[in-house]
Amino acid sequence: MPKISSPRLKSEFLRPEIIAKISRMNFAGKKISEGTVAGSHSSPYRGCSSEFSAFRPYTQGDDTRYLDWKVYARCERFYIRQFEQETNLRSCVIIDRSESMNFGSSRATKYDYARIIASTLAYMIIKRGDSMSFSAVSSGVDEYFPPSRSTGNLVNVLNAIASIAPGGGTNIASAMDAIGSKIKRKSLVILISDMLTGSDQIIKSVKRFIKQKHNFMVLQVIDPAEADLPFGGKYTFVDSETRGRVTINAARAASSYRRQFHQFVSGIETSLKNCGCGYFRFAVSPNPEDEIPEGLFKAGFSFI
Amino acid sequence: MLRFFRGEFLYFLPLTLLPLLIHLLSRKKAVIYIFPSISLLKKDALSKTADFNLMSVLLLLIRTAALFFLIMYFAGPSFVLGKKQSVIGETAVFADYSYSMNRTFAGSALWDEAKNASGAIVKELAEEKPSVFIFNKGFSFEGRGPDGVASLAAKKKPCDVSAGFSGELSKFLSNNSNIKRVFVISDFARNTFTDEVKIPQGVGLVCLGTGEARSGALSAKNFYIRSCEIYNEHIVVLPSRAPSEKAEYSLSVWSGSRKVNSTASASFAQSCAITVPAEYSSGRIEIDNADALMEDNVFFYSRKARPKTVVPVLRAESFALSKDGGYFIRKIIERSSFFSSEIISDTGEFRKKLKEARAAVITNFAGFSPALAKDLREWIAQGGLLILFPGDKTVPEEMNLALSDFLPGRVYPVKEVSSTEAVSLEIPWSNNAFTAEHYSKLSVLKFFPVRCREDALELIKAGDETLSSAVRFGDGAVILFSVSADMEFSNLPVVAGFPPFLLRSLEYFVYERKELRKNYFVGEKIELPGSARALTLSGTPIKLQNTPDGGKLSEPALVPGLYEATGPGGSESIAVNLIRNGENDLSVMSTGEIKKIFPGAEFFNIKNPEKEIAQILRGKNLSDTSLFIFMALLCAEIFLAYKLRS
Repeated sequence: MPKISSPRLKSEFLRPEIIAKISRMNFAGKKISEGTVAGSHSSPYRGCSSEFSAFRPYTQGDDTRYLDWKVYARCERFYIRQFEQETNLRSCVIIDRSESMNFGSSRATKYDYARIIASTLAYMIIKRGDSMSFSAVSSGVDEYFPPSRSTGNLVNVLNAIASIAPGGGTNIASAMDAIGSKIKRKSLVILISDMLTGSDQIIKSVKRFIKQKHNFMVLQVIDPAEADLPFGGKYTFVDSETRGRVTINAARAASSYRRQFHQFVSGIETSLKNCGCGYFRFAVSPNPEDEIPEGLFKAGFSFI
Repeated sequence: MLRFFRGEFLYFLPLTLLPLLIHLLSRKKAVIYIFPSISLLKKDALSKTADFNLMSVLLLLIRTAALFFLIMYFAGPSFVLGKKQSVIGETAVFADYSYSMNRTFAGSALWDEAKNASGAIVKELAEEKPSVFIFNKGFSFEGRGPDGVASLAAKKKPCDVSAGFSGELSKFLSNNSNIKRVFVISDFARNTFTDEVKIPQGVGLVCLGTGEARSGALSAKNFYIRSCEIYNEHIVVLPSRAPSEKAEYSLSVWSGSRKVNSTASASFAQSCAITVPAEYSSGRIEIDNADALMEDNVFFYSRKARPKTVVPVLRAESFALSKDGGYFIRKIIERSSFFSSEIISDTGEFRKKLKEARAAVITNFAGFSPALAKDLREWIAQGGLLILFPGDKTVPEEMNLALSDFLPGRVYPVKEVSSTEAVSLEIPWSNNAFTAEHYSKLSVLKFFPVRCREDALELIKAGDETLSSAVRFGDGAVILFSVSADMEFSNLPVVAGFPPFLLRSLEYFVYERKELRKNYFVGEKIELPGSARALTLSGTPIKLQNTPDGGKLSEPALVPGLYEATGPGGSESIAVNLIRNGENDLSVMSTGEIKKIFPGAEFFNIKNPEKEIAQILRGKNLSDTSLFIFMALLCAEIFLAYKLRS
């Protein structure tokens, strides 16, 4: 089992077992990245990598090192050889910290699970030399860390993930719009949320991101209890965010609820995938070591 | 209006709240659970909650209703119609005390059932103190309330004939306007009620039938011996014509356990004679027919050997070319084994014969000499019976002069009539065996009007005219007819009722009047001479009371059979039989027939008086219905509870 080298990187949500499984994983998005430094991701710009891109006529001021003499010998004209530029990945991890995420039928809550995912992603992205910004949202942008590829940023982000407690209402769509205005270059945006409230607005917001050529990935976290409603007898359910109440015979309503819940999450999944968004639904479980790497792979990350 | 047989169970009604209390006490509060989002729950959960509540309320209602109906079952509710509440007035209970109520059905006597029913009515209507009556020939008041019931209880087996009660009841109801509710308890035998009972408006009449259920058809087929004519050598049995599936019957004579004689089969519509040797002075005749009931298939007889008596018949002419009165009289007399006749034309010869005779007949005679009149007077005074038939030769004035002191009345010259009015009869020695029907075909052309003496008895009357009259003279009697014994004046000799009347009169005056009566009917008091010391029935002494004329009289005989009277001259058997005037006809009226007799009345056949009377008075018993509903609710409760739990 690999060890996290720096003692500053220690976090209860950063699991070595998961790190070990994702150490060779990288994002393989279809869209190209607009990084600021050289990296392992393709850039829309011409650069100095070893990958040939095209010829262009020589103009005054061009570096003569890139003149192709063989072409001059054949046609007595100067042509400059151009190469593809490889740049780093700019990414943004958004975690939903609304009150609804503070639900867990077992020991771990959805927010805990989301924090493990977020920590893992932060580690994975920054360790590969890509820059990452982080934000925690609820009814607005509660916390924002600008993009950075430094280890110091990683430490800050991990500490923020560990320290930010869940709470507040949900208006993720508006928070995402606010974050969108801060992202200047094409980036990978990862949203970790249960998406139980305002899913339509979230999808609309996601579509706007994609229209702006961003890569977008939604990692939905749900608890098995809210999917199955495994209760018997008379229950008064209190909405964790709105404090609304409803009294039902849970056992009798369960089958109907399951059907509706399945339709609801399927609808979200279909809508997101149709607009080219990566999507995976995590169910809170006591063994995130297996599920998180698998989920990330299915959502769009691939092994190099 | 709802009433209850066991109202005390209504105190358990608060128990119906038990399910509600249990429901409220065991009601669980809903578990409050913080949930991420209730938006999906809201859509469906509201209807489910409503469904949940509805089912619970339904189950609660079913449980409450089930308990309610269980309590109702034990309380015995009954529904009384509105009209039954509005009885304001007195109540009268009439119990049939006729002999037919002696019959047993399902192990108990109908009379006992009637007593129980009366008791149940009085018990139910204790506050009203109903008047209790019994009826048979007429009706008598027994007392009010418990006193009446006690009086009924003291009464032994019924022993009298019921007849014409319908009319008596109509009169009673019209005379007693305070009676607003009447119960008639009877077996509703055919002879008891004949005419329609007029029920005044506002009077509720309830008929309570005892015995078997009436399905509309005659339920009792009783073939029985209607009457017997006892002669020296044989006994003629006339069977009933009550409905019988068996068209034939046979007779047998028994003396104790010994079968003396039996006959071949005879048609049920015909009388049958059986020879009984003279030495068997008493015994019983049994009728063999599947439909004859045990009680009715026997007729007890007792007879005394009667010497054959010659009846001299005096007529005017020594010979007759046509069938004169003497011819018809002789034909009739010779039908009886007790009598023979001797037709005499000579007055002297007749006077000789008269000295030995006990009865004599004179037909169409003219020439009553003083000597003949004197002989007749002396003979009649000593106990002779003279039967006089005038004829076309009769001179009324001569007869009036010669026989005035012992004729029943003054005879007037012949009077012709165009039509014969209805005939009425009053013959004391006939035991009411003859009715006007026997003379319904009598046709009179002319007759001798007779103005009867005050002490004379008018035996047969057609309208205001006397056709036959009688008077006692000394120890004897004279019977005078107003028509001739031949067919000149009327068809009397061939009218159905005349021959038995003549023979019966002869039998009575010649034999029975001087004999100890040996054949009685149930309910009659047995008359004995003063010298009789004891009368035993199966070895049991029977009380005897002295009568003013020096004789003795027993209590009414209740049980048919042979009694033994012991006197100085030895012992003699006395036969007591069931009453034959229809009382043995145990065929009962159908419900439809009863409702015709009692228009507007309610009819109930009772088997368990105490329970059924209560139901009749209180209304329809809803206990069984309550139990049924309870069971249905219980099933529904089990089903719903199971469904809710699953």
